[in-house]
Amino acid sequence: MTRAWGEFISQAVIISFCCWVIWMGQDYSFGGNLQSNFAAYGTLLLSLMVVYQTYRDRAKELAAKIEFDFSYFGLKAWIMAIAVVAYVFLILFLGYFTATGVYLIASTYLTGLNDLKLVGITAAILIPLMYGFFEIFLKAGLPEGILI
Amino acid sequence: MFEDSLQYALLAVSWQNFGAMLLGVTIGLVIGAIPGLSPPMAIALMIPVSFGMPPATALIMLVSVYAAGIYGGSFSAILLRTPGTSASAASAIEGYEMVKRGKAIEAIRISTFASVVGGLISGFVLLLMAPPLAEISLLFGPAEYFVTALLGLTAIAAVATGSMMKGMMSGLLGLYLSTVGIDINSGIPRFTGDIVALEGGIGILPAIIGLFAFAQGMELCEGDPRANIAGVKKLSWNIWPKFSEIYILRWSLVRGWFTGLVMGVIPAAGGSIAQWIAYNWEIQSAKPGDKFGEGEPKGLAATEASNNGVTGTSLVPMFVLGIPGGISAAVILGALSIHGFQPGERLFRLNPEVVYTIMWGFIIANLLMGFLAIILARMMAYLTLFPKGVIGPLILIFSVVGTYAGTNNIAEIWIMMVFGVVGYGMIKYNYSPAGVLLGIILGPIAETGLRDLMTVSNEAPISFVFNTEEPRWISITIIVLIVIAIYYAMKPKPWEEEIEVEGASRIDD
Repeated sequence: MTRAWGEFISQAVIISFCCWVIWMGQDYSFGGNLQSNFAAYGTLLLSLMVVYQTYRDRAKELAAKIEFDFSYFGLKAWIMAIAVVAYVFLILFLGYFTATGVYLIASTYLTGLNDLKLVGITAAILIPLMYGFFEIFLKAGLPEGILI
Repeated sequence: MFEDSLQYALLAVSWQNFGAMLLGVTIGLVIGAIPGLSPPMAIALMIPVSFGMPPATALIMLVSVYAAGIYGGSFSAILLRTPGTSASAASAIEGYEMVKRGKAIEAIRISTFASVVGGLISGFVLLLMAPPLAEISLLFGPAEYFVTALLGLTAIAAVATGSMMKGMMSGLLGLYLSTVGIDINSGIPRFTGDIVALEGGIGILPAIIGLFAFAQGMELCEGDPRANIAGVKKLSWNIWPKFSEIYILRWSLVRGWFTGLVMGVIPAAGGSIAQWIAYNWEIQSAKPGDKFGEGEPKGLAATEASNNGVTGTSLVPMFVLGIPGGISAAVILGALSIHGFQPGERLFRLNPEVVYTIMWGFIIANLLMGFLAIILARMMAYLTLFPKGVIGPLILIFSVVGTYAGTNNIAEIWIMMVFGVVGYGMIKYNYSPAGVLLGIILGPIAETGLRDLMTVSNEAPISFVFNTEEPRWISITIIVLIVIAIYYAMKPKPWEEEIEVEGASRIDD
């Protein structure tokens, strides 16, 4: 797929989203849809301009192919985001500080940094500091599970 | 006016405020020095920490992070040719060349003097200019508030990385997102999808942390986890200014400070632009024997003077009209809202102890920054050796704990993560996360203005503003400014073509 086609597809998604916002806004009375309609119509106009620009430049700089990288290396940032979802559930189960230690070790391995010494030192310094700062100093009351 | 504000100078150095300033400057210097971590991200992560503090103390800490973050970025730019922030990218050219010629200490010394004095001048200009300008906001009606919000969005779009149209689309997305939640006029939930957590609207805090911290954390997790910026091992750190050096560079410093001060007041212009303009001006003013591109101290002095000269004046339009002068100022505007303040004349009239204490705090923070830099310089250089594989996950952890500490609500963590993933995608596809944030912040002001405008104009806003008998001159002026901003945004930006400097932060100053 070329970059131009990638742009066409993303603008189609944006235009569909704008249509949904305008359609949903019909139910909102007392001017409740004024701003959302303004934003949606404005975005529609800009999106159509981007489509025109893309069409105009499709044979030049937008003709290059999009290279999708579905390897672990290419998807690493997304895997890290998914790991954070697991981390939040782990917080509720184990407690904030224990889960943070587990996550820090696991996530650095997920990034490919297999340096247990560095990660261990970081966790050993970070977790007591965070406990002192958030629990004792700020009294933030971070979640406690079966541990802390 | 200035005399009235003096009483608050003492408040700014109360032990509590001074402690917050010290924390802010230290964190700003450290985070600013790490390439890839930006001042807006540092400010975003410090907002939850500020919740337990009185508003003035909290905001002093945040403006201290801002000032020190911009200066901290110069360390890695000069020593390693890897700018910690995009506002110090131009400093990398002459600064690193000086380092290669064995003039590392001179380069750091020039940078420190130019930045500290630039920040101080900028702080005093903020203190003198903002209060009288705030009176202008009294002349504002619904039409003016609405078009001012649009001006803010357009200005951010004008300097957004990549396409201006995508920058504006980001701002409009923010405006739309600000309408999510129960409509206070009708009591009807809008765009909530029956999700209870969204009924109260989208919080500014999860949006800020998600767009600026979480997204950047994800980006740092890409690539080689062991990658760092090696190089600095042994340096002596005598960075006290030398009079002879300053005398030789005096006009370069003045030109840099002047550029910074002016560019700061222009909404959304910021240090990234100011440094290139100052650098270009310096090259235009070159004399025989000046060696630009080969470690010319005049170039470094001008760029460093300009990027910190911006810091104070970029807060002027933010305090006065709610239009941030840069992306860090937009994040500080969010913090101001979180602490319950609205920019404008009322802020100066009803909360002078807050606003003047913040301004004095900013000035003193710049002085403190110079002293702390002497102590922390070596440590900051070593921080650049830390692997990305540890920094990335740490930022993700701080994003989670920061959001929870600020809201005490797990649902807000999910909202923050959605913003983070969206922000990451936006960076990848040349959309502007700052535009979304500004849309969310300015959205309520814009919506109230738009609704009132429709009411007072009998649903004919254009003929109301351009009424031949009683034209709304302020609105018309702002609309002209919007057109100028769009024209300016469409033109190619020369500073983007100047030089490709590796490692410059994607997220602006």
